[in-house]
Amino acid sequence: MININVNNIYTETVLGMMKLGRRKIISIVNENFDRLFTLAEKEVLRHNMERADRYVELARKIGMRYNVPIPAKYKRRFCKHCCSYLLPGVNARVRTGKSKVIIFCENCKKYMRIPFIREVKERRKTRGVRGK
Amino acid sequence: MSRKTLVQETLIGLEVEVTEARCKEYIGLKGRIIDETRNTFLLENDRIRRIPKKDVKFAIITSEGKRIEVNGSALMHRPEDRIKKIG
Repeated sequence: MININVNNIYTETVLGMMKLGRRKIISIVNENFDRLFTLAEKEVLRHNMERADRYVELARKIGMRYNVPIPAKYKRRFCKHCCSYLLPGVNARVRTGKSKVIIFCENCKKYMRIPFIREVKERRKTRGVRGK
Repeated sequence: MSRKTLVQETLIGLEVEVTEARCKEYIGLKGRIIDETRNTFLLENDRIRRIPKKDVKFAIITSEGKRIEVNGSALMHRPEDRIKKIG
């Protein structure tokens, strides 16, 4: 019999996951994401930027601990470099160009680029326009 | 949210009241949880206060309006380590 040290956070996590089941964990984590991001949005509208950043940090930490990715709908809401909550017009700039959505973070002065080349190709096909 | 699932979810954003504490100043304090560490809650109503969890009893008001009494010592985890704790 292997002796497991339950005081270790990692073994405790694994044991907890075994008892709860993977699916249950994912649903709980997603609920937490929803709550934290709605809170972050509220705080940003009250101009409490630091608090919003803290909620993003917590959401990311929870996701990393249980190996659950942050849903796509929330991925554009924070900077991938400095993890601060982004509100277009206040601390972010959003433009499109070169078949990408380009988000500029005013906090760390870096860019996030999200390609939409698939949509562009689709458009070309339906219109029947030749060219690149 | 029930008593059992309380330990698994984020408590940030919920209304809370201190019902029992060794320090008399804390008793009756109400507020919204705005942040949480392993050992403390950060409450906000008209001003911001940090309250230890250990040996303090809380009444947590859930989003459905239910009132749940909990011992603070049972909530002593970091918020990101919450879910592993089975109710």
